[in-house]
Amino acid sequence: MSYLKRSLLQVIPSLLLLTVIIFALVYVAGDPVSSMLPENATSEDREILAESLGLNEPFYVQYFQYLRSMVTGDFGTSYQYQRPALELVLERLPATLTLSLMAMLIAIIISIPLGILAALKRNTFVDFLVSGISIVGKAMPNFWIGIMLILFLAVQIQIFPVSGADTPAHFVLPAFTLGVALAAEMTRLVRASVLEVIEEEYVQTARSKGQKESIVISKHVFLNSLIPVVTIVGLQFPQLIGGAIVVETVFAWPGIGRLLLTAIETSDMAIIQTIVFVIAIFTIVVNLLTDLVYRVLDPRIKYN
Amino acid sequence: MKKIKVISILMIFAIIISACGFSDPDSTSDKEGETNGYELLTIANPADITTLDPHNNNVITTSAVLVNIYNRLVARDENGEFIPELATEWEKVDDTTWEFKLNPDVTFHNGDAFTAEDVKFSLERVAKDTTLQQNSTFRQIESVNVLDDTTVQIITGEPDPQLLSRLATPAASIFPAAHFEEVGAEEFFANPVGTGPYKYSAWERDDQVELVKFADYFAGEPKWETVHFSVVPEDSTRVSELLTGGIDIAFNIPTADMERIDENDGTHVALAPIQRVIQLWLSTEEGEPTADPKVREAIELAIDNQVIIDEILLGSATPTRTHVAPGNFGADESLYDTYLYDPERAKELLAEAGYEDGVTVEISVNNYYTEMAEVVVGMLAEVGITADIELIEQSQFANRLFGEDLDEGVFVGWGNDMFDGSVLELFKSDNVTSYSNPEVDALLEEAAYNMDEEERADQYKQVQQILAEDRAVVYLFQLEGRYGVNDRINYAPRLDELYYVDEITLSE
Repeated sequence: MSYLKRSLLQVIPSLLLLTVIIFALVYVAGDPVSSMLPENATSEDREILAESLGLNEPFYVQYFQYLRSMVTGDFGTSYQYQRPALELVLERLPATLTLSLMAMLIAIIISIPLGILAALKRNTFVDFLVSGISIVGKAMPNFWIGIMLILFLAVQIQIFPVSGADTPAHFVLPAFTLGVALAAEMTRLVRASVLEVIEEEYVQTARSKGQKESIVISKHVFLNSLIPVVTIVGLQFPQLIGGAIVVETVFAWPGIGRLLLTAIETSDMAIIQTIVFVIAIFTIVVNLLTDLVYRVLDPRIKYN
Repeated sequence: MKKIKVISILMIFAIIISACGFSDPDSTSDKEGETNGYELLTIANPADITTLDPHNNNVITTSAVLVNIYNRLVARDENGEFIPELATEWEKVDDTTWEFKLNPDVTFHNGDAFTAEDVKFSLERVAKDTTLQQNSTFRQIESVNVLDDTTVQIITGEPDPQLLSRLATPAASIFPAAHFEEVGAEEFFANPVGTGPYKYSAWERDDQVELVKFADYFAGEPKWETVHFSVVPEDSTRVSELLTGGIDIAFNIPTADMERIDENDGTHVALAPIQRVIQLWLSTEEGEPTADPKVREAIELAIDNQVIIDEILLGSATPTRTHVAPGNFGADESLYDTYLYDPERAKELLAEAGYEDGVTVEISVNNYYTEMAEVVVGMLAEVGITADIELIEQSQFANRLFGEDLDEGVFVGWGNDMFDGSVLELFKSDNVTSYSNPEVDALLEEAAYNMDEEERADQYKQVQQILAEDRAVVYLFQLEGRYGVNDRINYAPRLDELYYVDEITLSE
């Protein structure tokens, strides 16, 4: 428990530093007045609007105002939507999380059996095939996979819907698209990890005791080779949310990735800041969870 | 017993499959066969609407949806002519006073009767609140006076020849005053109420806006039961949705897909000119090579507008030498649907200007028009002009444009919301372009307050002629809107890019 408490306290300076960086980046990127006004607006119009929005205050004043309201849960108001940014982000967060989790699930379902198979059939045709597929899977950009999947499985053979997020069938293509790269990465990792564990002395011991190979693999090799896999899952999760920006755009998926993209195009500072902040929080939480899962997988791991 | 088991297993499978939505995509069209076909219209846009408040919006794709919920006093028909909407007639009392007679038989979606008070409230809101994005368009309105329930007078600070144009923009939408004041802005726009043919039903952000028929619409019962404006940002996905029958209209389809949509059974492409004119601004500032009028003329003569239109846009644009296209007030049609191309003369002009060995010009362009700008670069190279492109992301581009921090060449696409020659004010001395010509300034200044329509139109025509001669801007072409349309409906796209849902009908 005290470990958890300490980790949480360590988070605060990181978050504070993060707010400075986010705020500075957006500040440098320029003000949103140009995208807010009609084309025929004069420089006087721009001045009036900037004044009304408080954009003429100096940098540090704007930053502390931002920080002060953020502490009270006010992440500012979106210029584009004229609504609280946090509300907008939280509204769409579930869609992105569901998509990311589905992608993660698909990646796990594909990679663990394939990785173990490749390791056990090391240096055979099966191994080369699995490794080859995972290299291809890693190399294909996900916007391309998405568009190809739509063309073949939604337009040519109409098995799945093209886009949207209404029914479970809508999940399949986007989640697969998002999960492919991760699956490829994890397959290679599982393979390497299994190969390493298989050489360990305790595995040799188990074998020499005359235990069945299937039990050796499932009981001794599998669980122990999971630790690096859990690490990569934890590390990849924020990246998955990043990948969701592309996948959400291709499949018209109403999540935070799309929100972020529009916000960047229109310099909608409040939304950009909030989303980066939320992703940061997620990264921290997932990292904490990863540490805790280690302890479940290997009770010898202790934190003091 | 065994049989029952098999059947029940099969049934469970069937339920799972149908729950997963793996059903035949054509099944929805079967359902429509049983009724009159006006159940659901689905229009897909690349971007979501940004707001339900027309006073605080400057995005056309948002206006295109909101015009179905709200009405204005006047509107424009498909040719850009003013037509009555909530006002039945209007007249200019004097140079700063306009009187409007209102339709007495209009009700809002919530049952409130439409009166002069609503007009006063709505127009004064957008004219007085400086935080609203459309405030700058209506600041000329000093007050709105209610004479009786069905008569209002609008008083402008200065003579304003563009008042009707302002009132015809979607930003001049009328809200129910009493209801708005009772619930406040936030609550009002969470559940907006207008007088339009369709009522607001739901807005799933980044997914779709749903409108439903308002049966008591004052101009007669609307056609469609439900309208979905769905959001599909990726071009190829939008096209795929159209090809599989998931949507009726796909806006802004890529030129590369036009042929595919036309050849596909059940879909076609609809094109119509829109207000956006692609143009290259050339700096006239001392010290820049483009300050020499001969260099500017050479640039115009080096560009073959039609080749860009044919190759990049597959014909979906019209060459022009003016920004004020037909359908806009003050258009000089002699400069429309024409262009100058003479690379030999361009080389001569460069030699005369002392650039026999070539000259370098820097051009800023945003990510929307990179492809076109690159073709222009190639054409300029043919006559000995080296053009360096600086590619700038759109939001940065807008900031640097207004900060007057762009290169001597600026490649832009510019609209014209007011349908008026006043768009030429871009070339007034104190505006974002470096061009300065006292004669143009005087003409634009006079035209801005000139209540004599004919004289005003003539002033804008003179400005267009001077600009075509001075070439502080080289106009390339007026774009066309590209829509993919399902064959089951008739849809004629409009110059203003707005969707008036009731103009869309089922094909026979």
